[in-house]
Amino acid sequence: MRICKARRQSFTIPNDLVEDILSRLPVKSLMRFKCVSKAWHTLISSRRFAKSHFQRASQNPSCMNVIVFTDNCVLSLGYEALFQTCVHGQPVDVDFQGFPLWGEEYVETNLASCNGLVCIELYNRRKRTSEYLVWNPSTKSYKNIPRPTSTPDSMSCWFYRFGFGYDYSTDDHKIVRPFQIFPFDIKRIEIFSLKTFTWKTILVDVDNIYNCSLPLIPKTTYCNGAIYWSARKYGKPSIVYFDLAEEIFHELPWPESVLYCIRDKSSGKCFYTTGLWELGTFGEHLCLSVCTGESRKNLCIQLWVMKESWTRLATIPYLGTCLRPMCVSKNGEKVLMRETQVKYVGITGEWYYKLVEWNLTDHTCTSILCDPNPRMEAATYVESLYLQ
Amino acid sequence: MSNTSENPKPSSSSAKMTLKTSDNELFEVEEAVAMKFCTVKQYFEDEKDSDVAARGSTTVIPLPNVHSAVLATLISYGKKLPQSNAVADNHEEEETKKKERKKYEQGLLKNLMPGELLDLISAANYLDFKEGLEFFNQALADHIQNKSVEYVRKFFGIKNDYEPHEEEKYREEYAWAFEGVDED
Repeated sequence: MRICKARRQSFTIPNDLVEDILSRLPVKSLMRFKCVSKAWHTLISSRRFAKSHFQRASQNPSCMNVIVFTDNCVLSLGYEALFQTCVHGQPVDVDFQGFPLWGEEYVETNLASCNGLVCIELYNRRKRTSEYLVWNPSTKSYKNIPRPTSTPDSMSCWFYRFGFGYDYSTDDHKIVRPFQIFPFDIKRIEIFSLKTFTWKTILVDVDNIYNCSLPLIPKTTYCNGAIYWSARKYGKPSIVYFDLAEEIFHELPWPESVLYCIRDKSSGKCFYTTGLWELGTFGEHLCLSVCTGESRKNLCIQLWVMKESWTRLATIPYLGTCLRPMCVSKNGEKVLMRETQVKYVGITGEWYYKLVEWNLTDHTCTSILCDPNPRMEAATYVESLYLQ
Repeated sequence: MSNTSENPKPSSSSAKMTLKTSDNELFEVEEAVAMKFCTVKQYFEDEKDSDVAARGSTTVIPLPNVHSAVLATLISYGKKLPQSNAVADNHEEEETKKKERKKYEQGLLKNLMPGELLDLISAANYLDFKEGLEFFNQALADHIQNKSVEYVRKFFGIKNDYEPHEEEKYREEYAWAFEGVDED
């Protein structure tokens, strides 16, 4: 097809088409094209464009990345690298001012991610205090989060594992920290809004089901506007979630057919698997990875996804460790998971993590990073323009 | 330049419509394909309501904003799309058709000059041809993805309204975004 130049009408592409075309581009290109003109700079920097760009990217499995924090560096794995064996990950230059990642030994680094942003927590085990930073690995921008002004003395209260999520109703990313004040057992939650850049504390409704213990160790999961904790209620496993828009806690029913108490037929004793389950995500659904089975010798890991109700996705062999689902490949066959292992040195348990990939069709498992590091925290993120 | 349907076996059951381009070329197109151009569909439905002529046989729909070369490509692309009135294929047939379409799409893009993409997008937008717009917008995005700022300005005819020192500062601060860019 050739058009004679004389006939060709001069065509200035209308703005809505420019937006459509630009929303398909990767973040690196867009950050460069902010330099094209002031109009393009305004468009690409706008919140509205970030939202539409993110919506498109989140539908594209190729835009999924994994960020890994080892005990001395940060690595990034793109989609192409993720579902292949023996990858090294790209080292990422991080230099967060006033936020030393590899400082004291008693300060641990924890991650939570959602909608294109990663929230990093530096938890000081001695003082029981936390510092936060929100980072966009695609745009390389970050923001140090101020300390909550009304944080109660850390010795008189107990903070549960923090969560990081996106509130659809206000188009806002939030950090949440539920806590409990001794000795009155009053439960509250601190919420930081990235939009207003302020903290607020709200009381948890007394009628609410928040009568379970939220553990400190296992991570939270963000899914569809809510943050999920793996909890325990009167010895039974319990899934508790905080709806960011409503600001209310709810409990998600446990899938009925999943046994957490496995009775040994010969001895009649109960083997509890209440500690052996993790929440994660499978695509846009909440995914439960639970160790269960008919008997203690016949354990397996079942993967369930929450759609309208719990649906069993797959069963994979139990190899002695618990697996947290992180992300799934384009064809839905492979799942990237974080494996948790506990090694005991005397009576002290140390937690070790590995990234593995399970093939759901042929039940094979492969380690992802070639040089796995014992202290590894990983989080998935989608390329986005939030926080530029 | 073909101005008749390329279908080797013209089916008597499918009605045809005539489209007239800006350079006065006439294109006879099967109704199923023409209906993908929502602007044409709207015109046709308006005509039907006003009861002017028999179904598309004598009506010539004018497209004053579309050149014949552009329309030829859009019609050709429209024909390759799954037809809404077609009998449902089984899975195998669907897969074969998908592969054929992919091959056609690759061939089409290979022979296209970047400037022609803008004309196709403009026409697809005017004709409200959603699938065509989706395809060509993506093709354009893929084309400019790794291009330099200067290339993009020239391509879209955008004037640089930055002061030299402003631009310099931006380039320094975001040097990583300027790495590995295609040579102009």
